[in-house]
Amino acid sequence: MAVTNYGDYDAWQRHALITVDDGTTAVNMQAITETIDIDMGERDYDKLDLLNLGQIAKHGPVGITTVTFEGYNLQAGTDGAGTATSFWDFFADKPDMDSADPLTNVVTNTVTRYRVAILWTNDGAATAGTSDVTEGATYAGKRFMIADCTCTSCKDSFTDGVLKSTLVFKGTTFDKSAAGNVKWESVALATATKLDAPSAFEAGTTKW
Amino acid sequence: MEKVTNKGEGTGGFKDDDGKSQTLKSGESVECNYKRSMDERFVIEKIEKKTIKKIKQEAK
Repeated sequence: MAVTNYGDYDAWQRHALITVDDGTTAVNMQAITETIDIDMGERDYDKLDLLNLGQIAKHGPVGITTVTFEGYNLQAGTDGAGTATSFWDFFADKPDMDSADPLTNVVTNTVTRYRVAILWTNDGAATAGTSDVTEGATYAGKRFMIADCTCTSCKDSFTDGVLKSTLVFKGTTFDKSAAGNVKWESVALATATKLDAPSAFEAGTTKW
Repeated sequence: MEKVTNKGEGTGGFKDDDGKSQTLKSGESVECNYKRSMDERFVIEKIEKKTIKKIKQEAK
């Protein structure tokens, strides 16, 4: 891995870009996020025991994919596209519920479908999880995306004396047509190719 | 249809709204369907559709 100020020599570390998009507004969450946890749905796996002591693998469907962020934010929402200033409005309604201070975001029953994109790259010009990785032997990147997922939880705790928010997105791993909703993509240094910015997300229509 | 320009320093790319991969050198532009940029380096300009009336007016 190239020498960068992020320390990405042999592993992606310390630095990531996160973009959450509802098809209308895209916001970047890296400035308020400390941890990312991606839990791919597991495939059910069981066995059938035969009377000759043999076994048959019994395959089941793949589970739900969960993406969890832990972060620290000062505000009750985000007032428009660009830099996210809170986790709350993803859960309450959409990325930018209120457009001006004071932000007043009352929870709704709206279930918004999001695309979450997370990019690890040494391309310093990349500013979003959906950024392109520039062509050239000095740039590399790896991106995770889940389309048509839902924010299922936003929990805040002050038990350690600091207000920490935990945000959870869940999505089915496949859509109803059995097309995948989860994608990883990358470019290596050696290939010197670019990694395209994805298409604009449109819930239920364009995943990436 | 939009005009998309790569304002970044190197060769980059994006997938347009038709799912086609577009490659642009720094400063290059392309006309394609791309309503919302997913990377601020790719700047979108609306291409104005000219009516026959407007073309005739400009010709005068």
